This record gives sequence, structure tokens and C-alpha cells, in this order.
Amino acid sequence: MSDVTIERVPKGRLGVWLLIAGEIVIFGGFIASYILARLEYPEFGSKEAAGDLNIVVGTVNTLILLISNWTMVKAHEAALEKNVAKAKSFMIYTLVLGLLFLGIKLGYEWPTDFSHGHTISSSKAIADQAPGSEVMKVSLFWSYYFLMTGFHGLHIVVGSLVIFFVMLGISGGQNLHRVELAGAYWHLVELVWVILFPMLYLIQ
Amino acid sequence: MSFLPEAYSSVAADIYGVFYLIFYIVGIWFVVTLGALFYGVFTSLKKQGGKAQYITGDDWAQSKWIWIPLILVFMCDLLIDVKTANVWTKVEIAEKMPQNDYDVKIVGRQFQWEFTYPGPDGKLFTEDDIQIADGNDGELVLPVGKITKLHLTAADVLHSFFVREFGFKQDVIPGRILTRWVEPIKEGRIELTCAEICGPNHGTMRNWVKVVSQEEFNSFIKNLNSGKKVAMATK
Amino acid sequence: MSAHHEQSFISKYVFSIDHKYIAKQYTVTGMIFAFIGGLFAVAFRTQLAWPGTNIPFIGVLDGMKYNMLVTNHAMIMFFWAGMPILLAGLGNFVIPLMLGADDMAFPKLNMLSYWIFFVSAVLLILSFMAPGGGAAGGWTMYPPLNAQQGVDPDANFLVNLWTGGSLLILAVAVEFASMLLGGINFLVTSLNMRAKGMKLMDVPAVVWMINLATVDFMFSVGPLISGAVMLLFDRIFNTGFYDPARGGDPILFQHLFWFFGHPEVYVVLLPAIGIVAEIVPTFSRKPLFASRWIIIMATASAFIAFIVWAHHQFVAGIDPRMAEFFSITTIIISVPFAFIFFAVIATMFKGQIEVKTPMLWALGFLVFFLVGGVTGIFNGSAGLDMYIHDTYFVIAHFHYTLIPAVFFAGLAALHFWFPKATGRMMNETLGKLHFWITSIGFNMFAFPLFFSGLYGEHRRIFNYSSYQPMMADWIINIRHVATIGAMILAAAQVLLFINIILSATSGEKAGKNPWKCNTLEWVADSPPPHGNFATPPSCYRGPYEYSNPKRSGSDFWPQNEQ
Repeated sequence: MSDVTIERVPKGRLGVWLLIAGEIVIFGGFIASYILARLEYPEFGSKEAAGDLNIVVGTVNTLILLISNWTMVKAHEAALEKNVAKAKSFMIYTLVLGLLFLGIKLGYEWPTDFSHGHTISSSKAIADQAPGSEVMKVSLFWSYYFLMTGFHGLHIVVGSLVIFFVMLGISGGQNLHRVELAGAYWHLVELVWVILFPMLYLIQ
Repeated sequence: MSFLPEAYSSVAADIYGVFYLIFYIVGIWFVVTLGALFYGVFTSLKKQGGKAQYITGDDWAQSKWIWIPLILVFMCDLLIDVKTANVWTKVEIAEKMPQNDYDVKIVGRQFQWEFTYPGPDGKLFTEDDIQIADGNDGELVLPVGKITKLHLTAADVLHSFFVREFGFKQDVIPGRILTRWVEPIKEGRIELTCAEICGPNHGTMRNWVKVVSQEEFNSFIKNLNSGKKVAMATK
Repeated sequence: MSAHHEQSFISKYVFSIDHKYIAKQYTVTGMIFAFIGGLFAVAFRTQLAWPGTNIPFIGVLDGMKYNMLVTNHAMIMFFWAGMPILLAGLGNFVIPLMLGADDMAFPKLNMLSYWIFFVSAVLLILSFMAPGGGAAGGWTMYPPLNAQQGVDPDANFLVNLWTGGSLLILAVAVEFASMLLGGINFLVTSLNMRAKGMKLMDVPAVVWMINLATVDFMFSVGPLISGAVMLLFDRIFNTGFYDPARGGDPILFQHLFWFFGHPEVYVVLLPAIGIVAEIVPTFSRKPLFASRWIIIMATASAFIAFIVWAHHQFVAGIDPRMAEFFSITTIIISVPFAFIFFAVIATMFKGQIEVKTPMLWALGFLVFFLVGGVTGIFNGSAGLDMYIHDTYFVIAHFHYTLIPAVFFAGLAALHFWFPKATGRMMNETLGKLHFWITSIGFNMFAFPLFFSGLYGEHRRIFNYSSYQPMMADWIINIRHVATIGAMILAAAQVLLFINIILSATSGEKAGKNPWKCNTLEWVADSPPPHGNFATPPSCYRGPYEYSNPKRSGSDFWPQNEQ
């Protein structure tokens, strides 16, 4: 950059914060829609809906994501100290934890849900049901569940890729400020999960 | 202005009243603003050796020329708000609805309107309700001077119940029953149209509303209950 | 500055990261789509005026084809013409130049935004080629119709994805992602890369307005992206988010749509007002009247825009008490716009107005937008909207807001900044001829529709012959006049095409500052090289110091001169 510009807030940070704001509004659309449906249908908390989710596994996953955020904060601290090796190792921990989260979600939780007959479209199960029946509302819950956890999982994937490429890019000790940006995005992913977890799992 | 259709319901005149109020207020503002615009342009065209005045509009002496009109605009807005809220409350708010004399259920379906009248028990949503003729050959019959409650719903997608001469429309939603009321003030046969896009044949989804005298309506209901084919003299 | 390095053909003309070139890419793409959208309009207007006409390439319109044309006309004009031209194209061109920056904050992201936009345009075109043709459920995409039309619930998701409706939803979502990334670039550039000494109030109004529009867009589009994803899932995964038979709620989509949809109107309108706020002072040689308050009022309107959305749903079956609230906010939003309007008019008083083509288009915007603005009060008033909702009155109203914004203000901007972008002046005679023919065509087409709308002619009907009142002679005449007007409006654009080609190749050389304007883009060469400024300009004052008595010798005072 030449001296044309007066840097106020570093532009990378500003850009990522704006991106995060935009993402929050997108998730806000899902979450608001879910809350409206949840308020209308107490059946969302029934044994076949939220009650069929494994709170223990969900809690473990939440903890995994929380720890991954702590490792990301450590990576940021290391980057501020210009300690490339330390930053890289903490970013690897973050990546491993992120993949562990995804593994539990896609490898254990979703298959369990599928084996209980829940899919994003339960249309076959409800084809012979009368309108307004409980089965239908339960199926709507699962549509929301797979929609929102799927969309969140997509963000885990994107966030992991970002961290991975940032990690490759800092090898020579340059671009260390990018660790903060990747970390900020990773915090968004965490924040969304912290909202989704009680909404989907805990309120029964 | 003769562009608005003839009023057939007791509320149409109120709704048209909102139009006239806004039309006159807005019309005056439109003429004044446009006049100021053209006056400004034509008196300020470039002249040889002329010099523009340095007016920033930052002090009150200058900016009052737009602040004062702005306050007037705001007051006109409030006037319109009050008038429109009154009419809206009268037509749409359920608690303000007058006691109704009759009920009818209206269902929008791709691409036709269906009307259901109470059966012999005089109550809607019971076993003996009578749906008149499938398709577009059965018309909605309403008595003049009496208040009929309309129970509006749809069978498949969104439609909109729109009778021009009644002065209002209401979208109908599958899975939900919305109620509106109408008090026809004039006998005649007027069009019922669908005003919400509902598929390829949206353009042909038309039926009729027939406003009839009390006697005619009584005999219509009687025929309906005795299972006779609905035969109404078309005017 | 490492600006003047050599560029390969690909990096200069295809994957360019130069903001000016990306601006041209957006503008040209937008103009091509505007032309396609215009031809769609001419096609369905022909069907309305002369039902059963065999239209070249399309054939005789039936209900489905008619719905497809109106749906895509609106989609194209809003998202693939209005937004790329007025927001992305204009913003990319003026923001770095007016701020004295060498490029956008993130040039590569900027290039990426354009190419994501390009992908969305390809998806849109693919949607016409899908089996069953393009989407035909109205541009508002209301479910349940749009969750069902063209969908086979038993087919697999790829089959349902390969339908006009699904591809259009996908195209819209992709387009929004592109504009979201572009918007980040605009905001960061404007906050971070202003010339030395440029305070926020020294930033020209058009840059302010584009950024306000961006904020409106970024904070309203999220719910629609999520709503569109849910609608797409209803189509391809057979979910029931909006299906009342399965516990879903069709009105939910309307809220998500219009929470975005109304701010979206301001996304197009605010840049247009900004353009006019630049051009009117320049050609009146006077400061923009109460410029600080114009910014404040525009900011206020950008915020009020978030609490008016349900005025599109007065008759949709929402809680009537909610409608009263939204009716009040909608009518109150006229106050900030009235202020801006009065201030722009006051700017012209006692000036030295020279009516060059850009000024002519700007004046056209003021006159015609006034019609659109005041008729908005009719629609915003809930008590009357229950009659005129979804009639041609509404059609006439929003064409009187959007055509002045996209066409008149957009063409004002084109004529104003064309010398900067190409180094050559546009032809004045052709420009004025184009203006007058466009104005005549536009008013012939849009104004009569107010009357048929008041009579209750409802929209999206492909053939009115089954409606007796709508077959009255005077209504039929209105349809003929409106259709001929639309044809004139479309045909007039040939003049624009000729003018652009002629002027770009053999127009009079423009020089750095043909309009004697104060803002920083006129300091750069015409056209500015990659990197814009030979030496980075500094800013010493606001952008509207015309005819300042403290300045002797000239009637303007560029921002970069001490």
C-alpha cells in the first residue's frame, strides 16, 4: 500500500467482521424461522423430535468446539509473538478438533438419526397422515434440524479450509495477521453452534 | 373521479374516501413541488456573465425554505395515517366486526372458486354444509343490506379474493381460515377474480358474485336445503 | 506505486482486478440483461394489447409462458440490471476514484465478486432452458406455488434441481452472495482508503448513498438467502418448511422475502439519488443545499427501510394490527425523502444551470420520480391498499420509481462519467434525442396504467377477455397506448447503443475535467490508468464548493487544491 491511504482499522479485520455480520444475518433467518415454528408447535420438544437427540454427544461436541476455539486463540497469541511453529501447531489442534466435531456429527449423530427414521424429508412417513398431526410437526423439526446443522457443518468445512490455507501461508513468517482473521471466522462458527445447541437439543 | 368502480359494499365508499383524501393532499404537493422545480430551473438558466450565488443551506435563514414545507409534509402524513387507520380498523380488525346475519365459506382452488353455505341447521362447519356446484358454474349469492361473514381459505396455493366493487381484496391461504365481512348495498351481478398469481391459468380464475334481494336470497337458501338445482335468473 | 505494470490479455480483459474494468464488466452485463428484460416486457405487453399475436421466437403466449415472461422480467430488471448497474457498476467505478484511492481494498475479492455474479447470470439463463421452461410463479416466488410448480415429488433431487424454478432460486442466492462480497469491499474501501484529509462529511453524496445502500443490502439479504435455501429444499428435498399441509407456513417466506425486498428498493434508489446529488450542483454551479442534512436524512431513511417491509403484505393475511404499524412507518418514510427532494430543488435556485445531457437525465429523474414518490403514499396507506394492491396502479407506481432510478439516474451517471471512463465525450445531440424519446415512451407506457389500475385491473393476467369490465373500450385503448409506449421505450435504446459506440470510438477528447467538477475522480487522467492517480491526492474541503466567493478566478474549487 502506498501512502495514498490512511489505514484506520486494518482492512482485513474490517472485511472479516463485515463478512461475519452478513453471515450472522443469514443464520438469523434460519434461527428466526425455527423459533417461530418452535413457538407454534410444542411437539418440537417431544420424544420423537428434540427428545430423540443425544444430549451427551451434543455436549461433547460443544466442548470440542469450545476447546478448538481456545486453541485458535492460542494460535493467535503465538502469531502476535511471531512464533510461527507454535501458531502452526495450535492451528493443527484446531483443525483436528474441527474434524472431530464433523466426524461425530456426520459419522455418528446423523446415521443414528437416520436409523431412527428421521430424514430431512420425511414425506414417505407422513404421506398417510392427516394434516396437522403430530408426526408432521415432528418431521418439520427434523427438516429444520438437518437444515441448520448441515448449514453449520458447511461452515465448519469452510472455516477448516480457511485455517488450513492460512497455516500453509504463514510458513515463512509472513502474513501472520491472517491468523487473527481465520480465528475470527472460527469464532463465528462456534458462536452459531452455541446458539443452535440449546435451541435444538436442550429445549424439550 | 369516475375511474373507481361503482361501490357495491358499505365499506367501499370509506375506502374510496381514503383515495380522495390522499389524492387531494398529494395532488397539491405534486403541483407545488413540480412548480418549484420548473421555476427554479427556468429562472436560473445560465446567462452570459452571470454568476451563481453561493448558498450552502447550512443556516436557518436559508434552510427554513425546506424545513417548513417538511413539517407540513409530516403533518399531512399524520392526517393520512389517521384516516387510513380508521378505515383499516373498520374493515379488517376482527373485534370491530359488526354482528353478522349470514355465513359463507369461500375456497380458492386452482383455478376456480367454491362456495359453501350452512345446511338446514344454519351453522357453517357442520356435517350438513352445502357446497354449491363444483367449478365455476356456481355463483356466490349474497343478500343486499345484510352482513355476511366470509370464511376465506384455499385448497392448494395462495389465491386472492378480489371483488372490485366491494373495494377490498384478501389473500386466501391454504391451512388457514381468514374472516372478513361484507354488507352489499346494491343488487347486481359483479365479478369475483383471483388477484394473486396461482399458476398458469390464474388469468381465467373468475367467478361471479350475485347480490340479490332478501326474498330471492331466502328462496335460494330454501332451494339449496331442499337439494334442488340452483336456478337463479341471470340479470 | 507499482501500478503501471504490464498485464497479459487475460488479466487485463477477463480476470481483471482493476476496479474500473470490473465496473465496466458489471455495467455492460447489466445493460445486456436490461435489454433482454425489456424485450420480455415488449413481448408480454404485445400479448396484452393484441391477445393471440404470434410473437417472434416465442410464439403465441399462453398463461404459462406469460407468467414466465413477467416473472423473469422482474427478476432480470431488479437483480441482473438494476443492482449490477447502479450498485456494483457505479460503486466500483466511483468509490476508489472519488476517495482518491488506487483501487478497491480487496481487488481480487472484487474480481471474484464479478465472476460469482457471472455464474449467477449463467444459472439464470440455464433456468430458461430447463424442462418446462423458466420459473413462472411470480418474481416474489411465493410458496406454496413456487414450492410445487414444475416439481415432481417422487423424482430424485437432481431432476427437481434441473427445473426453471429451482435454478432461478439458486441463481438469485448466488447473485446475492456475489453482491455481499462486493458490498464488503465497498464498505472497507470507503472507511479505510479515503485520501489524506478527507473527513466523512467530505465524502461525496453518491459514495455515501452507495454505502448506505450496501449496508441496507448486507443486513437485509441474510433472511432472504436463508428463505431461498429453505424454498429450494422444499423443491428438491421435499421438505415442508412452507407447506401448510405439513405444518409449514407460507407466510413465513413472505416475511423473509420482504424483509429483504423493501430495503432492496432503497438499494437501487439511494445510489440514484446520490447520482443526482452530484450532477445537479455541478451543472448549477452551486453547493448542494444542506448537504450534511441530506446525508443524515438518507441515513435515517436507510434505517426506516428495515421496518416497513410488511406494507407489501397488507392483504396477505397478516395480523391487521401489524398492518397499521407498517402503514404508519411507510408513510413516515416520505419525510426524509421529501427533505432530500426539496434540498435538491433548492440547489438549483439562483444557480447558473447548464442543461447538458447528464443534467437533462437528472432533471428527468426528479420529475418522474416525483410521480412515483407521491403515488407511493396511496399504496402505503393500508386502508386503500386493500383495494389497489396487485392492480396496475401498483405496477405504474413502481415503474415510476424504478425506471427513473435505473434508467434516468443510471443514464445520467453514464453520460456524466463516460468521459472519465473512456476519455471521450458523449454526443450531446444524440443524448438529448435519446432522452426525449425515452421519456415519451416511458410516460406513454406507465402513466395510463394508473387509471386502469384504479378501475381495478389486476395484474399477471395473460388475457383479459374473460373479464367484462376489463374489456371496456377505454381500458383496451390504455393497453394499446401502454404497449406502444413500451415499444418506443425499448426502441429508443438503439440510440444509446449508437451513441456509446460512436462516442467511444470518435467522440471529442474529454480532458481531465470536462464538467469543471470538484471531486477527486476528475484529478486523474481520462481514462485513469491502472492505479488511478499519478500522485496520491489530498483532500482539503467538501465536494460542493462551487461559486465560493473566497475563491477568485474560477467558479469551482477542487477538493485537492489548497
